[in-house]
Amino acid sequence: MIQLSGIEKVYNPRKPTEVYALRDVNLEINPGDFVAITGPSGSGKSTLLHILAGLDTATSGKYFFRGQDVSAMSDREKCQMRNKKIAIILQSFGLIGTESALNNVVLPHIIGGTYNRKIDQKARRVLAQVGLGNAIKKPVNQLSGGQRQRVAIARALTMNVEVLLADEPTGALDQQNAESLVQLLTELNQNGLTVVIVTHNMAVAEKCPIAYALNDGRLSRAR
Amino acid sequence: MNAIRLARYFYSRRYIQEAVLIVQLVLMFVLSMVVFRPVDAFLQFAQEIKGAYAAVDDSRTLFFNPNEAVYNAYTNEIDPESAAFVDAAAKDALASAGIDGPMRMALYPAYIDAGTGNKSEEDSPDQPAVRNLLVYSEEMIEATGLFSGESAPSPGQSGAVPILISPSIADLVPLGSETTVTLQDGDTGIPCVVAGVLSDEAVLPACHGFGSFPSLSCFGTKTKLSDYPGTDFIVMGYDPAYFPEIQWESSFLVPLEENADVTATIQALNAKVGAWGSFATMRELEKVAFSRVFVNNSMAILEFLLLSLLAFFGYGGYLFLMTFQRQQEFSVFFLLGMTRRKMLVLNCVFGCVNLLIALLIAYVSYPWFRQLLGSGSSATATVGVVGLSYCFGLLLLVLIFSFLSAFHRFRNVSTIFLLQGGD
Repeated sequence: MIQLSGIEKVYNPRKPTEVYALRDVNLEINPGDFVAITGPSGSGKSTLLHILAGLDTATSGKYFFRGQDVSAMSDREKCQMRNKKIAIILQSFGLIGTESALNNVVLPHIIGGTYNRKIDQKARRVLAQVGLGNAIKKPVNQLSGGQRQRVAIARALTMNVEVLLADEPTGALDQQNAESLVQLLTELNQNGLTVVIVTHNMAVAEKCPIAYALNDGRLSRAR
Repeated sequence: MNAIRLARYFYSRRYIQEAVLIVQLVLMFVLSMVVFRPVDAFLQFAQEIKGAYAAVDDSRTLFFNPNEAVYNAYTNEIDPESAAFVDAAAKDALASAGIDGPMRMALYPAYIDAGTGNKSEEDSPDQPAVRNLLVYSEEMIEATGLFSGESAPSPGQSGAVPILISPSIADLVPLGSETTVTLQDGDTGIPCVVAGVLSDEAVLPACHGFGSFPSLSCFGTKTKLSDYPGTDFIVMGYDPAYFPEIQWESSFLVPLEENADVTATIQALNAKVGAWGSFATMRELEKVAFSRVFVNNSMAILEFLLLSLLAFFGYGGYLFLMTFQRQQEFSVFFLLGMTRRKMLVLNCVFGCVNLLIALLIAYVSYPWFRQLLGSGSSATATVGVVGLSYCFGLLLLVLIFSFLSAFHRFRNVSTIFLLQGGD
């Protein structure tokens, strides 16, 4: 499903402040995989995730998603990929705080032009599924960190994506909420969703069957 | 529909900010109307005059002719067959009138119903009645847009006198053709070349030689300033008792004394006609209106500068800050698959909607503002196109520039914001 080959990412190339964020990264993720990518701060984890999501482009190397060369995609095609195939949840949640949980969940469909009443009903069902049945109408900035992350997951589920990328999803959560979130992600993976978690939390990484480690921009298989 | 749904994500719970912005824009529009009012007033008046001339009934209109040189040439019995002489005489007339530049002459086959008429009974209805030669400077011709088509050839080719003709005889004497203009006596011919065709909408202050003798006699101009429904006539040299219809039709009566100084009479009448809406009046108005705004009126200059500064730093700054304030929304939209270009277009569209709403409010409320400021009654408070156009154009430019610059910056920091940003 995802193939990275010889990916390199250099910030400020050919300048005194040149930084190699990723070096010769090779990675293959198959449908249904539950992958953790770990590493210390500054090791390039988030850069790798952004490249996977099409938010950033690699300096060199090839990235294929379902056989399509993402490196050669236009901005518009990458945006379509994020809208239809890949969802991202962030440590900072990536939600619009002043809007209700429901409005946040249906937002990708409004952007993609696929919004209708059925989507609204589906969003309500998914929110109930992730334990937010009573908070549908609440503005997101009135919810706890754990609830916000669930809203982000509900949004991804409503989008019917194939891959869920999570960037430090438990970073802003307490231990109980973190465990609950990982449990939810595990269940989603068991239902067929491909999940990639970028984290420095080893407890979270241990729950994933496949793990990679990033050190100084170099990726190696840990498990 | 989706665009409207997206708008709620931009504007929800920011009603006060939007209301403040609308008020700011309305005030800017009103200010622009005040600043540009003199220019607007001029343009409106000029438009009225131009419309009046365009609507002139040729068969009833008299035209003013400053080219007394032609008449002098005839009355003094100097051989008028010499085109070169007429040319030189006309140039002298122009020089004495203070008009520089190459000479152009216009031929206009008009006649009037009042009095005896200019068109003699012998004239065939199908033939142009050649009676008047109008002299204009190059500058005037250019400014009035007299030509209907391509620019005229150089005057004076083949030694003929260049003339302008009305469109009604353009078929008979096409552009560039040579013809002979016969003066009032019916015998004297002046070789001429058609140098241009007057456009139907030409603003043409002109004169009509009247009667069978070569003295200036009857002048007229069409203007909307008068309540009189037809053409305004300035009549001279006729006894109203003898020609009662002239008195009935005339707006002014100017008795012509025998042996009157033709030049002085022309100048006096020119002034009268000019005051009643001639092209000279328009030029004067233009001069005064613009000088009032940009030269003589320091307050207007200050207001103009204030308006421009408000647009750039007030509105522009607001938009720039607003874009940054909404960076989180933009980041989320980007994350969920909206292209930056679409975001830019969406923002510009909603910015334009704001501008249009403000413009509408300003337009409707302007009379009230004028009453509030005590600068005139609401009945005369017209809204001009120059002020509104300038202000709208300026704000639109600022809108696009602000969003472009903000998004240029956003393009570089969006990914970082996604990493670090939060609620």
